[in-house]
Amino acid sequence: MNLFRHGDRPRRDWLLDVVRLLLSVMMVLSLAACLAAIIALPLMTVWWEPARLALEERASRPLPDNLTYLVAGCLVLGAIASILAFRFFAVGRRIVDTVTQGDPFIPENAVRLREMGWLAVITQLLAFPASWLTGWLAHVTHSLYFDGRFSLGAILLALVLFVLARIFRIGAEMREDLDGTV
Amino acid sequence: MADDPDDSSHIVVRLDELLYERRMTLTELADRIGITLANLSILKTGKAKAIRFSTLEAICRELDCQPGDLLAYGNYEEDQP
Repeated sequence: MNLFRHGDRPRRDWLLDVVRLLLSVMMVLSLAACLAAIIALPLMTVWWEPARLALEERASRPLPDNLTYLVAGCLVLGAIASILAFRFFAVGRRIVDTVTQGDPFIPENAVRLREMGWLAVITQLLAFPASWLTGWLAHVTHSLYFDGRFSLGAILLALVLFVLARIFRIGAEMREDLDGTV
Repeated sequence: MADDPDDSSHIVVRLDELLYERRMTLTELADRIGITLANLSILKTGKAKAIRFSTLEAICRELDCQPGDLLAYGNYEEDQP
């Protein structure tokens, strides 16, 4: 099956349909996470005391005064990471759409893959302050567990995306040459 | 770029002249060699980036000519009317 022949009529492919659906779900979840973090920020000022008491009860010890800022920092980082994730999945879905249409080797997809690579890098750079904040939160709340680790897998993903972007750029150039061949 | 010597010279496709000499239309040739009229027009107008040997062979067969009759290396400015 030659899925990539330029000018072919779009055809159904269950794998692409599943991936597209999955990416759409991830987009909705990212957006929901971003909205939750943004809404939680002002709500923190209203319901902070009951939340603080609950945390103190779980930690079985008094919590420091700057805990509000730590939690707020986590929420802000969470909102930014969610926006980046939303963009990552949206761009990925556009690439999948071009594959569905039978025309993925276009210069735009090389740009999109490069953008996805940079989004993965920026998200991992955010992991540094996030891991510091969550580590500190885990330390002061004692009994709570927060996960904000740096991921080597995500950096490898970014590198693969950068290489794929180059492959697509060359593919787009080759396709352009093929288009001019009679 | 005007300074580039390659800009003023190019491969000239003499399909129009060959078709005129043989009293054949582009559509007729397209039907005979089995490629689309759009692609043949691209070749005729000199917009093609490359030509397949199979296309060249089919055109030479149908027009009873040599590749050199169809293609020539010429100067763009000299070719202008």
